[in-house]
Amino acid sequence: MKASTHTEVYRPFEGQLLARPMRPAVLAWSGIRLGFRKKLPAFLLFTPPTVNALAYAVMVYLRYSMAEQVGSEGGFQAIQAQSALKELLGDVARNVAQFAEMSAFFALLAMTWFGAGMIADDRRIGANLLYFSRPVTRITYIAGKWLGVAFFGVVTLLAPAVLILLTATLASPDWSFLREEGAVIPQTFTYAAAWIAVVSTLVLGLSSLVQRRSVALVLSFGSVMVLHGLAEGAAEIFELPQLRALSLFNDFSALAAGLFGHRDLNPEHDVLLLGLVAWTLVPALLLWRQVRKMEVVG
Amino acid sequence: MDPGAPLIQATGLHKRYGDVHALRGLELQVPHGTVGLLGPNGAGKTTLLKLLLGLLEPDEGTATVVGLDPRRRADRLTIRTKVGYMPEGDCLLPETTGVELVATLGRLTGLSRADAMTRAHEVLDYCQLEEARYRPVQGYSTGMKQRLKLAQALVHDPDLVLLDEPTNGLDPKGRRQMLDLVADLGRNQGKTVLLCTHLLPDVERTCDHVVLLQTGAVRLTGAVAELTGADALRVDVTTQGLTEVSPEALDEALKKAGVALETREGERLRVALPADSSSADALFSVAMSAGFRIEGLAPLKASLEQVFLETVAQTEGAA
Repeated sequence: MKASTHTEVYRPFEGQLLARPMRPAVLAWSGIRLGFRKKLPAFLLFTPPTVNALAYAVMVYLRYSMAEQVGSEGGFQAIQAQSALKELLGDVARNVAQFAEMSAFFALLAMTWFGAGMIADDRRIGANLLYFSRPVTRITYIAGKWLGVAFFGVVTLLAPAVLILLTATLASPDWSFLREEGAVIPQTFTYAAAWIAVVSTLVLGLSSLVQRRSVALVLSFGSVMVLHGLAEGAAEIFELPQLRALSLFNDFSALAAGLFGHRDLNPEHDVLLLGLVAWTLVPALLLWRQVRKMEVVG
Repeated sequence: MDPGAPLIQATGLHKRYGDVHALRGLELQVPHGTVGLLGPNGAGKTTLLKLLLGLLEPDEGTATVVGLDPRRRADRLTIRTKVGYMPEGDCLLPETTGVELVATLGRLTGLSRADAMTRAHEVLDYCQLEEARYRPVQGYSTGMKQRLKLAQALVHDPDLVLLDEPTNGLDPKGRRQMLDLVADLGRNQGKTVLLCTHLLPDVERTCDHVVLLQTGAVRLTGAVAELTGADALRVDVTTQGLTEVSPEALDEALKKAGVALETREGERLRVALPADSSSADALFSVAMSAGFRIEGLAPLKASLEQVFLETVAQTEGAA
């Protein structure tokens, strides 16, 4: 049974195909692995959020350990020192909120860099034929690609936030962080999840429109930055603060204010939240339409 | 599904792209074995493959693949676990390694992680990519890329393999390797292979059956041996003593036996036997009456190319 040119024979597969093979996870992992293939971009994109997270974690740790040390001395001076420390280092919930907002930008960078080619490259080389000639549906494909982009958001935003929250939890005496400021944990998760979800959808939606990764990258990052500039400018020129809703940053700032309560609510809070819905729905519809075209190969 | 039933059946398949009719009422039955789907560029071959996989929807007509209807979602997904597809285009992500690509596509078909990796190595070995498997695809030659595409089509051990122009862009060595693999799959491994190509020698070399597609319809279908054996009434004859026979005497003897002379050259003749003759008896009677000896007979076999060209010419003439 050996063909003349073969060094190996064909071996039939004796096993069984899995009933539920978790195809989105397979697709996502394939995209993630490709993302890490180039080491320099990964180093450059992951270093800032890591350093940022470590700095905040140290700050949170100091906030508790020093306060505990000063507090153990007792007396009026100790109370004064404790409030000075609190003023200097801020309260932990505020620190976490600030960190989340700051890291969101790093997450945007990483997600656009790694996610821009996820669908554009498939379109350029026609890899969609390989995927859709297998039992991969449109939903499976989108879910797989989406999880792949979201992973980079988790690494640059959610995981560092978890590190800080964990530090605060473990460093606080008698679990005081959990008892007094524990609400910040679900707030941080909600904020990070919303940012990751919106940016993943945006990046994939724009990636599905073009056939070049570089164009998708410019489109994704450019649309966020240019629309932010336009929104700010137009709101000033036309004296219409509602136009700020065109900016993804402004919309998330409104979400953060609503969630963490560390800033006063913007008067246009509701409009800004509507802007957030638009930032999600428009790319999602684009993505759905484009992937439908890729699934039915004309 | 009945084991003897055709793996692919199509009835009245129509597919249009705007004003262009890619398929026009295509009727097809693909038996088990290696089948060549032959046709000039633009005949509708790739469109047919995509319809069979459910990558395209037909405008009219029905098709079944391994007894399932690709228009139904559940059937379509099942078909794709039973069919391996090798697309025509490049379509390989350049930064992945061969083994990663094949294993990932295996897992997407439904193999477990361990099975996918084992199968990836097995099919890469089979496709002679054993040393290249850990290299990124961007460093592969065209032949290696084609064999990698074949490997990914085989990773889940499908019953039916659809190959779209597998020898495209290959040098003679690469082409021979690919055709050997295709022939081995069909003849030794029990796969049904639908080889879609415009290269007649590829079909002649590897396929048992052929389906000729032209302008979106099947123009000819049958076993390669039957199609190329249809001209068996024409015979090349090697003789002894023919040079001493006068043309007039030969003509008279041939006429008497109802045999038509095509060419005469030294001791060789090419003749056409009477349509109702079941043996070469007529030729021996010619030899006896003209006075020469027959030393050898070789029935003329039509090449697939002749059959192809004649069919195309007939179709064009009819149009």
